[in-house]
Amino acid sequence: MVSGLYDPRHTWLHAIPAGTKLALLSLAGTTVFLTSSPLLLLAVASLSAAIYLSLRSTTRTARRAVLLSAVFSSCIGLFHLWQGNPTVAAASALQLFSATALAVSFTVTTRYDAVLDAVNRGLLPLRALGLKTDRLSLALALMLRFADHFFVQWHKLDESYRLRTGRSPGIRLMAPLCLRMLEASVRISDALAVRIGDPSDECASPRRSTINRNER
Amino acid sequence: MKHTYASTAQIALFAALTAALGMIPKIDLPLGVPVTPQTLGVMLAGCLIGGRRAFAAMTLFLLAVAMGLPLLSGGRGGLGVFAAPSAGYLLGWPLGALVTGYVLSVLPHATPRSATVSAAAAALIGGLCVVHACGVVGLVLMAKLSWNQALFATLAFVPGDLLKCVLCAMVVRSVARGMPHWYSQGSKA
Repeated sequence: MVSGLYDPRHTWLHAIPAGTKLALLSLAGTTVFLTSSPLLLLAVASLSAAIYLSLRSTTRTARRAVLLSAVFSSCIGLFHLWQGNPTVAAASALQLFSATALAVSFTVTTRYDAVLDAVNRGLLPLRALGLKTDRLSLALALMLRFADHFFVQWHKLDESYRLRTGRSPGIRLMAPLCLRMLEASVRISDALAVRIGDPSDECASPRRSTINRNER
Repeated sequence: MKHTYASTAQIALFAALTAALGMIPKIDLPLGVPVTPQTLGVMLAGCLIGGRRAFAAMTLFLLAVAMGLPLLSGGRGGLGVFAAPSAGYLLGWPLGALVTGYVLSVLPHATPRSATVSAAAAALIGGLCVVHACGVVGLVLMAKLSWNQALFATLAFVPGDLLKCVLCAMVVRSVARGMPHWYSQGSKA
């Protein structure tokens, strides 16, 4: 199973509900990208760095992302400096660094299912417009399940090809993998219709009614 | 009812394929924009399951990334990736997939040969032009580059993406030959 960047070791940021953190992060992100004052951005960047550093070892899984962000922010800053725009250099580097540090702090302290709950709550008003928000959890679960499944399929195809030819298959596996995936999508939609289909649709699907009888 | 589940399954499976393509190592170029095989997933989704489902598949994938799952090339994930200079490219994936699917739907694709040529054209317009256009906007907004500088920066990725268009067309040809019913009914099942 794909494991997330969340770290369960408790910090002060873990105690804040996911929805609140998400709202604060959106607000901070918008503010950071709407202002271009280097002094204000320096203050926000210092605050972001303080929040990030206060989480100590929980940020271990995402340190590479922050390091890369710092390197890229510096490169962009140096590029603008070379172009003779010191204000733009400072603003763009600080904006990128602040946004990344805040976003990483959110990610490592918020459980995947808590984010999903917050997103589902945020999408509730869209139900009035006919959007089936309950399908979101199902689609996410299927996606994570089949990401692993495809890795296994890829390895099986890779081994078969190597045994047959003695060479690495490279991108040749893409076509058979896609064919298997499309075939799988048909089987999965059948299985979903059987397992969680609408009972009122039973007459239209004799296979499901047979299976339901067997299950009883 | 089955139509809805087919739609959900295809959306989830193509989001999963995009995640699986992320296992292939990326190459980082200057300005923080990585070359990743995952854009092939954008092109394939548009060509194989239609524009709207492909849009949903890419949105689902990006939602999972935003939730903190390390599904992007190099094990990247979380909201931080949307604050990087490459954010425009990422946010362009759903739009690119939508346009790829739409372009393929209006071009002839009844035979394997026509599907191959149309898929190459659709991938070029949606998976390359649209995604790069979004990427350029991202570079201008996030990295504060000028339009010319951003356009110049994105040109470095065009040769790699042209190869992905060819690869996408080859996969579509294999599907059109191996599952000839797919374009007539399967993708809309």
